[in-house]
Amino acid sequence: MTEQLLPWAIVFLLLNLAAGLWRAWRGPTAGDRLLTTLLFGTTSVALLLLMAEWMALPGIRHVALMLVLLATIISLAFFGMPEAGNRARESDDG
Amino acid sequence: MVDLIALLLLLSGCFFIFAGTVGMLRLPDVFCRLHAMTKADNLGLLLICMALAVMDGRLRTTLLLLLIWLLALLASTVSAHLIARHARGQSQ
Amino acid sequence: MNVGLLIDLLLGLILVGLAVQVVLGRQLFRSIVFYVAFGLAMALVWARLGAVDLALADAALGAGLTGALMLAAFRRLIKLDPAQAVTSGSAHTALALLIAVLAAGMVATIGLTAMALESQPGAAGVAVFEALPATGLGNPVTGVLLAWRGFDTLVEMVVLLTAFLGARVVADEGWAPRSTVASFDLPLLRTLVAAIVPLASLIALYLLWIGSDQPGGAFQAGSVLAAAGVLLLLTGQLLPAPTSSAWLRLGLVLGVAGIGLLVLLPMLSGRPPLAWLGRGALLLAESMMMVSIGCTLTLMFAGAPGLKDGTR
Repeated sequence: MTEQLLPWAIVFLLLNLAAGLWRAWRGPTAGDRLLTTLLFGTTSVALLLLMAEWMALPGIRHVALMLVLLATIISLAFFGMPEAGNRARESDDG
Repeated sequence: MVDLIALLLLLSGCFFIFAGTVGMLRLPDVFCRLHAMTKADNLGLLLICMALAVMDGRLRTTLLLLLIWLLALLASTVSAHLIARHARGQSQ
Repeated sequence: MNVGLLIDLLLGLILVGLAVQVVLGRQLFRSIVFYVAFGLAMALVWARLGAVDLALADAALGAGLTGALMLAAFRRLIKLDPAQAVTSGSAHTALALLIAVLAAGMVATIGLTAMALESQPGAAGVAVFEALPATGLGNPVTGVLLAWRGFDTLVEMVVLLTAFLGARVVADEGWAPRSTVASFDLPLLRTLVAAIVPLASLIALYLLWIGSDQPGGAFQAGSVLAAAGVLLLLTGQLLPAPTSSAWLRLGLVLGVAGIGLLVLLPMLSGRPPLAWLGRGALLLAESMMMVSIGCTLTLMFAGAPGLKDGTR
């Protein structure tokens, strides 16, 4: 019976994704927008794992593995970015 | 019986992810939102992974799902820390 | 209401909404974040369509690498010209939307027509599946890429090398991107790098190995290696260097050499080029391609001809 519920769980998580986009749109700080990528990352992993089970394609689990392996890259690339008008973080290094 | 366990795990997993999203939308501060996001979402992901492991039944899948969840934990931890440090730096 | 249809509709709406925001959004940083989300949504769409090889490549490249590239470019841009962070409303919004609608209509027409056609017995797709067991491969994508359309793959590797050389030619020699995190000695980051980089290398080799029979292969493995390289660059473990070592140069051309040998070697024994050499030769060529793709993409992200150790 749970198999039939899988696609509905996928629908539910997709709605969560769409709702989370509002925070990316609204802000107000850059950190809030990065939060959305975090949400997208974790929810996408859940979605991919559900799809792997529902569509019986075990290869999709490897996609989830890769996604979660590389999820920190975005936050790392963002770190230290000066918000427009604030002092740059780069002035901290000695 | 196994089906019932999987169902419960799946439903509670979806509930926690929903709770994380609600927290992200409604809480007042970026730090509070980080709390909601990382804790609730990772717990929801764990419950969903458990549900899928129960449904699939093989050891190989269970280990792969466990690895995925552990990496998600690591990624969320570091990302949340970086975002929080940046946000604190900006608010000073 | 079919659940699959509902899922497809939601995915399509999310994709289109994200795309509209990326192109027409007023704030540059917000558009970049939406672009990263778009990359993730694309990976979901590929998975939903069952194109797992594409999803694997897209997850690494589209979501991780290009997002990091855009953020690095954004950081430099607002340092040079802070006014660029907010763009005024485009005067061409109406035109852009019109073109988008027309393009979508064209794609929809072509797609629906193609789906309505019956697959002919002599069609390429059917022929691939018929010829696949003879090669001993289980993954039709690998078969097409390396066994039957190897010339295309050779040209792709040459294109990658040419793109790298072109990037070197137009690069601004006076500026090298610095890692901003290197100055912050966060113990978390050392743990992260220590955990992720070896695991990524292992997963890359794993994807390379299973690519013969399951979704995977040289491009997917190479993109994982490139993402690991970008991780090292972002955390300051690797730094851009003004000159490249011989090993790096070897790594850059290895891919072209590998697939070139695979294509041309059969001619030595009198067979036509691209005749089937066996799974072992395929795997060797793929590993050479994987190294090349990883090196090229990492160096292109670094924006420098070489890399040096950053831990000292």
